[in-house]
Amino acid sequence: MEFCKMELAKESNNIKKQTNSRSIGKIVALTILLIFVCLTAITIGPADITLNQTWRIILSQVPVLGESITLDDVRISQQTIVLQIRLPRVLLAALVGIALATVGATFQGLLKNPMADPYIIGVSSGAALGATIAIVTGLSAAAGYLAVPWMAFAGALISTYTVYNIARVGNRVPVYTLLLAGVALSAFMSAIMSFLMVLNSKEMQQVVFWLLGSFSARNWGHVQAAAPLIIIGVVIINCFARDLNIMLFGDHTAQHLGIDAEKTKKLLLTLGAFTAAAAVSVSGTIGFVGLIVPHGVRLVVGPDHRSLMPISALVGGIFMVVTDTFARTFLGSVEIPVGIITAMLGGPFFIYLLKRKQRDEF
Amino acid sequence: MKNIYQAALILMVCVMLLAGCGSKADTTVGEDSKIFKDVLGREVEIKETPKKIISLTPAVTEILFELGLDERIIGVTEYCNYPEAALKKPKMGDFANPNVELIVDAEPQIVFVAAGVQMELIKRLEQLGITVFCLDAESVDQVIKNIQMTGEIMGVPEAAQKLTSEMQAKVDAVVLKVKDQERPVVFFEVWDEPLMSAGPGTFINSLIELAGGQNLAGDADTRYPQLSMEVLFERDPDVYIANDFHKQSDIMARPGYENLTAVKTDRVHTIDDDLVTLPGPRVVLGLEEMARIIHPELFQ
Repeated sequence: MEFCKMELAKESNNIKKQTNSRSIGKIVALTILLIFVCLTAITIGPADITLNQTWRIILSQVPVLGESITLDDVRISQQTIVLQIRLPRVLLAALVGIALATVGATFQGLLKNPMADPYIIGVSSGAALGATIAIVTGLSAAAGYLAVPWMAFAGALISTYTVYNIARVGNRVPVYTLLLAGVALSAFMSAIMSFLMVLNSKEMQQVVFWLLGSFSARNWGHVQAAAPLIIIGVVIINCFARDLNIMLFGDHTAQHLGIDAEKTKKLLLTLGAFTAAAAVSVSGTIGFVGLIVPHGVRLVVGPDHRSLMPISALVGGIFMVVTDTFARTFLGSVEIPVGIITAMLGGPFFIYLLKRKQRDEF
Repeated sequence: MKNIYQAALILMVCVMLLAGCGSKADTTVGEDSKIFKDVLGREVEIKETPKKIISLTPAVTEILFELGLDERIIGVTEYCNYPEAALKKPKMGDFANPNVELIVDAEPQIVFVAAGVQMELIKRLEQLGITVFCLDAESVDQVIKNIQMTGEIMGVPEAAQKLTSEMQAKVDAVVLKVKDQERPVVFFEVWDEPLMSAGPGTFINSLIELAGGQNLAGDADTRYPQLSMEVLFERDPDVYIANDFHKQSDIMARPGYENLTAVKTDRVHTIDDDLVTLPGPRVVLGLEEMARIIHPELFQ
């Protein structure tokens, strides 16, 4: 896999300036689009609330400005729907999309593996096992609605840590042992989870629903728990874009350019696991976004991580908000788990991109 | 090091932007309210007799209709298909994942839910300031208690009393008839592939016992055990009951089944699933049906 060596080697200062200014334009445009998509999503839903009412409900919450907004024609229940149901849900979808796409882009570059996604190092199976334990032991009933997310988060981190330690050879972490350890431990944990499901058939449906991934019944508590972790993780990861670019040349080259490749790898693996764990703990295992969005973006903007990572994040956020809006409105009153929609909408589009470009991606 | 400074700076900005997100629904305590205890042991305050009800469980929908409260129902689930009139009520999503937005929009005074898969939902609706009451049952006695409770909450205790005493009389009649009889071994097929039955602590188990049978899976470790064919053949049930999405003839024709006593003696029966799985007023019909299947000699 000759990862974008050519492109980067050719990059002179002059070209760098151009790509940077061009990608900054894209980033600004996509940021505006993300905000627009979020606001539009908040106005859509099965309950009958007009665009105008939605806007006034949201604006009434803004300090100072809100005092001049009248809500005479808006029922309390409509305010609850906009502020307590749709708004946190849309924000959470955007955050999870951002997290998954960022971590996907990072891991694909870091592990030099096109099949890498945020879950590759055991995050998803660990989270799923944690969530299953919380569900079948009745912990969620006893300890409040955040018990499942926190157990999922803990499970994801414990399993990632285990994978990392299995794969470690002395002070180094070879990529292929990391991938194999991830696959092996995931299989083992999935088996334990399935076993728990066989023993607790009554809770099976809850577990399956969690596995499919969904933003239904998410509230501000979930946003408050996940947002700080996701934002911190994504921001720090993005600051290592340049290091990731250099590491693509191989550890040796990186060493010469003053980057401790092993240390950076450890740090990015930790951050990625942390961010993906935060996302998965509040949404369940939504597949596809973290794998496909970075590839799609790479096909369009090229392999430079400085533009690839932020643009992937924004596209991931937009994609997730759009698919979740579909998921909660498409069948009227019945919700579809969003993981199903991401693959249904994203799959064909990605295949189209792949066919259109018809060139080696990396 | 430069990376870390960059990150710290951006994060500071984010923290400032995020501060002030989130809020909570508040609840007030009423003057002349009553406290009821639901099946989960939650103490629920009912401020006044509810005029707008949402039922998210088919069993409670049936109870409400049976008590003549259908005028007050403003929402049900996609699964609430009995009685016929329930189909015309506004749908609030499906059973496992009702649509919270539609529920809030309908402004109900009380929402009835089941246990199990809807446990998460209870917390969610409470946060949104909605009164939630859980009614679920794993035995006939509990169903009767639930109906009584519903009657009291809804301010129609007499109607509930009338219904439950009729039900109790029918249950007692069945129990009395099968009292000193042989107890045939009954296999209840919850699902065919994989073969699944109902174990201890389930509604079906309690119906089999009341109807004078002995549940083949009564000693299982889990509530809905997957059974190996070996266990089925080893214990060789006298009576085989499945739900009615299967045809009796198809069950009898399954390979190897010709060796089962129940098949040889032509005691394979199908039963309407809703009668034996929904903890509502029709359980009595389910019990009578079961008793007829298990002890045909007593119920001519």
